[in-house]
Amino acid sequence: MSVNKFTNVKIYSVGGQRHFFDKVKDFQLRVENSMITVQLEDGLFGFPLDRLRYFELGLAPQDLKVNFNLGEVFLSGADQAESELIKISQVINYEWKVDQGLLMVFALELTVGFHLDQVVSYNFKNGNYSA
Amino acid sequence: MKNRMTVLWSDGRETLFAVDAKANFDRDRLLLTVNTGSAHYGWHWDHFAALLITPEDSVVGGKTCTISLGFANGEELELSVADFQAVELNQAKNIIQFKGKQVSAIINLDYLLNYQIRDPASVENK
Repeated sequence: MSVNKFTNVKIYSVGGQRHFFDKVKDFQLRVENSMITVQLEDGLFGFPLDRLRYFELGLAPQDLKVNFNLGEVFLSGADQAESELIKISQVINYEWKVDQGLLMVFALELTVGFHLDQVVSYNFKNGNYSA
Repeated sequence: MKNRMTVLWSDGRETLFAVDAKANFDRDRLLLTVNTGSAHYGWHWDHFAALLITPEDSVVGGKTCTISLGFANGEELELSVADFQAVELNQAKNIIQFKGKQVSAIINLDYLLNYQIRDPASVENK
């Protein structure tokens, strides 16, 4: 997977490490290599997929239909991490990609990829829904 | 008869659904989904303990099946299926379903401790 037109990249790893990048030239997620690479102007970062909790790609606003006003993804507390709830607004769509081991959430200004081993549950709702 | 659906998480949390929810067990994709008209819910296969379909009115009588669940945090919970009819094991999906006349409990085998069926009629006949 290669996504272009993004403005920044955030990588959240198992164990609590966070890496935020601006001025990213390229972001690549290669499932066959189990590696994420972030190409910067002055070098390259590599992250093993096995250690990924989730990543965020900031996007320039897109002109696409919002299907869910709010998405919530619960992440487990395994591997010394705190369990946490990630909220994502203006969700266009989501994909549970078991072959890639990722839950992808596509929002207007954000694409988020969660490692499936970290995901407990999700919900995506329209605003007028009450459970 | 109105039903309600409850998903028990692997940590003992509960999510309650109204009558129009539809559940789908997709072991191949490691995903339990529950969709309502306007919301999509999903659980990773390792993180749902049970899905219960229960009538809004309580039912009593007949055989009773008591199911003991053990959650990931070590806590335990007992469920009871009144008017118990049958139990069906689905090894391919690693789930076991307990059917009552009006109650249905679908349990992730990873969280089942044991179950016990009591038949009052057999005691009375002795």
